[in-house]
Amino acid sequence: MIASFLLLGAALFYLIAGVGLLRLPDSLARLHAGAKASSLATILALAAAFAHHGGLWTGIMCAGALLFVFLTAPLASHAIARCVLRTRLDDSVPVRKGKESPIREADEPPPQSSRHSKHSERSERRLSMQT
Amino acid sequence: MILVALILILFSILAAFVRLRNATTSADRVIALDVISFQAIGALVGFSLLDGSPLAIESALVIGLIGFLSTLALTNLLLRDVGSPPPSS
Repeated sequence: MIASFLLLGAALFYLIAGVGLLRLPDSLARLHAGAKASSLATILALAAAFAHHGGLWTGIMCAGALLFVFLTAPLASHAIARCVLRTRLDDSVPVRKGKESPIREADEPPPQSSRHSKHSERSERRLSMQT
Repeated sequence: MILVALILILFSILAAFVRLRNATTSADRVIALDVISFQAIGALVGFSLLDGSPLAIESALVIGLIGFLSTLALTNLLLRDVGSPPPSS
């Protein structure tokens, strides 16, 4: 009974992660939705497995899986965030520039800045290589 | 109730796959794959609760390992042609 409720909570948090992936406008916002809600849902799912099965070996496996998830989920999120920040095509890092809105639509063209830094030139070169 | 939870998890996997299909950048696809690996852990735990055998938890552990390694490999692949980081002002 308690395992069913724990698994239902896990399913609700997985659903929050999926809806956040669908509806949030920015890559970093989607990363925020995906990483944390999925971690909490994984705790709840493994707790449901331990509450349903019991036993020593299942407990060891659940604890190992939980420890592994908590070791690796921040590392994976950090790697993805670094990848997003370094491969984005414009220079508007929303943390540094406070004037414009950090949320920008994906279809909207990037804002044209007067100065061209090394990063944007490299991005344009990569775009021309792709096309 | 376990079946309802499994159906909800499968709908969330479907939502992540829709994001994987409609992604605008490659980093979005990596994010969607990371979330899909976590949701596969949840789906395997749900199947083990339906089935009654605790063997699926070990496969959940293996799926978590593979998801983490594939995420690191894909981010390194995306960062390979960017080069050195831009000089911070």
